[in-house]
Amino acid sequence: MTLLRLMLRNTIRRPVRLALTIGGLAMVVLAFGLLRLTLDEWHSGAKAAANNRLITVHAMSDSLLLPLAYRERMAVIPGVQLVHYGNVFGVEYRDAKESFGAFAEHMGTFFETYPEVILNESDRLAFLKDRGGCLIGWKLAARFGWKVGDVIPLKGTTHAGNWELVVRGIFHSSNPAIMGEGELYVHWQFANERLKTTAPDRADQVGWYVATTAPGVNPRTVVAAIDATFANSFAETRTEREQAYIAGWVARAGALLDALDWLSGVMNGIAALVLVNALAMAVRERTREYGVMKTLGFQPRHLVTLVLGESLLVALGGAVAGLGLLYPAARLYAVMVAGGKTVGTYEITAETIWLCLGAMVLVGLLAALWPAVRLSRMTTLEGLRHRG
Amino acid sequence: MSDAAMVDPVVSLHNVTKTYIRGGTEVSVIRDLSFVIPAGTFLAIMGPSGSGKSTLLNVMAGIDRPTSGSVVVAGTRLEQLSEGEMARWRARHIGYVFQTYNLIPVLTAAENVELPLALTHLTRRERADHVKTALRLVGLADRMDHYPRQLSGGQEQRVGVARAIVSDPTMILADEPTGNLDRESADDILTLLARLNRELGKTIVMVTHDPRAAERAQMIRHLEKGLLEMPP
Repeated sequence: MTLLRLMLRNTIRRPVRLALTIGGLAMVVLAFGLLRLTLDEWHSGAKAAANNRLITVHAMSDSLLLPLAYRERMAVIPGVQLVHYGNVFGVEYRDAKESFGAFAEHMGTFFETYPEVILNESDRLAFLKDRGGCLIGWKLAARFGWKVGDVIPLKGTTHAGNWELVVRGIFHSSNPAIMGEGELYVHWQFANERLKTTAPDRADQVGWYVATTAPGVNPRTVVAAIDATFANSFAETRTEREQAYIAGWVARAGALLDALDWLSGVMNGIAALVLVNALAMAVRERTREYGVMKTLGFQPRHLVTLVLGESLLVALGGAVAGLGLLYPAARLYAVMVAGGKTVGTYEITAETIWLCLGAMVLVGLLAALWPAVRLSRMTTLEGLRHRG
Repeated sequence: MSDAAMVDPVVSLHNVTKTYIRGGTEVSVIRDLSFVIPAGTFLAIMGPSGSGKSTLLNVMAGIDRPTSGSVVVAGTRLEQLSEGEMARWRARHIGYVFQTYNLIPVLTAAENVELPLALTHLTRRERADHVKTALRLVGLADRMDHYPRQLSGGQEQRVGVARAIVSDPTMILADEPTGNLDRESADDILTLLARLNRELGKTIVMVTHDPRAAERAQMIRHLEKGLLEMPP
């Protein structure tokens, strides 16, 4: 009990130094946490993907289009339950800075393919009836202050011309990693009709197919069957399970993710140095006291426990302070990433919290290593003769 | 000390030598020293600075090891003990009083006195009783919750003495215990040490260069250039 008391009192002995050390560690935890958020965001799509959705794109590149006629041929492949398709619908609002994700989807299969969309029934029916209408996520609505019934003037990029879309519904998503709540959806047929006049060579083509598989069917068999159907055609396909498809996108950013991982490690190193410095100063100042304790009969393990405990307390203090800052910072970070107007999907997971705490425990242990070794090797006489 | 006085010795030194290497030169601090200290003795060791007094005390406390010779304290040959064993032995047998008090500044008087008891198996209540008794003995029962910075030098040293006696050690070693105190406080500490020797039968070895302090001891020995001056 006395030792625990001594450990606690030693920890708060120099309040200014303690505050600065915890502040430094908190900054590192904050940066580490934000990095983890970024990495989590990258990986969240793959983790949240549905098992029964298969994505089919052009074998040569995702940016190349596939014929609409593939739809019927895919629908009869054994194991395929439903075939959905869509295109990117490139638009911007007022100027390029105010762009967002927009997609032209076949609305006859959209809601069945993506049960993640949460929309009230009357809005859903209104949207399905109005081919010139659009559906927007609540975050996009919040970003621009749009509401149901508003007419949104948009400038097309991939789909040239000016568009005036009526907001028919504002949806939420049960899985924002897959169905983003900052996006806009229009009827594929509506967009395609315009393309027939503005860019006829791109009409009646789709960017991707989404095939859902029937229950009990092995998706791998269906994947192979789809690609085999279009083998040796002028537009061969590449089909993957949704999870693999998203993971492929993540993998393409592999070098960046590796760099972020390394950066996380470097940050922990910085945290360890901050703590080592503070701890080394404290131990040096108290060397004589440790010598006195050894004179009283305390053994190196007692002194090591004191230093280790202090190191862990400070490290955990930094972790708690850093995590406390991470919540408001994550919201701000999401706003910044989303263009300064809306809240993104950046959420602090339990894994991130445990990683931050675990990293700080590791930092605490590492930081105590050198002072602990020094104390273990110090003789009683060296301790007593120390002049701080 | 006569042969008759050597019955039941607490300390027994045989041909103890301690040398240091300073600047490439071998310096002898203690030279071939042999003597015994009987139980219940209050011994003052005097000598000028650099005479080896503190080194001798440290050798008896197991804080320093002799270069050669044998040191037996409380029935244990110290040269045979490892560092860990030495620490355990010291906790049981030695109470040490420092010239500069060496209290832990972040602990109260009671907590400082309790510190050596952290190494025992006493219960919390037993530890509290021991601490109260020790502080009452040194006259500081009313200052238990004071931090060292709130105490005078004399009071700090009394806390140091309480810390030295709280675990009821075999022997108390005091290194210039009055060196940093004014005359009145020094007298208080010396009276206290004499009382501990007289009433509790504690063996006390005190190193000092102050003749007035040494006079309070039962026996005085002079250490000169590493050699102990024996009585005629």
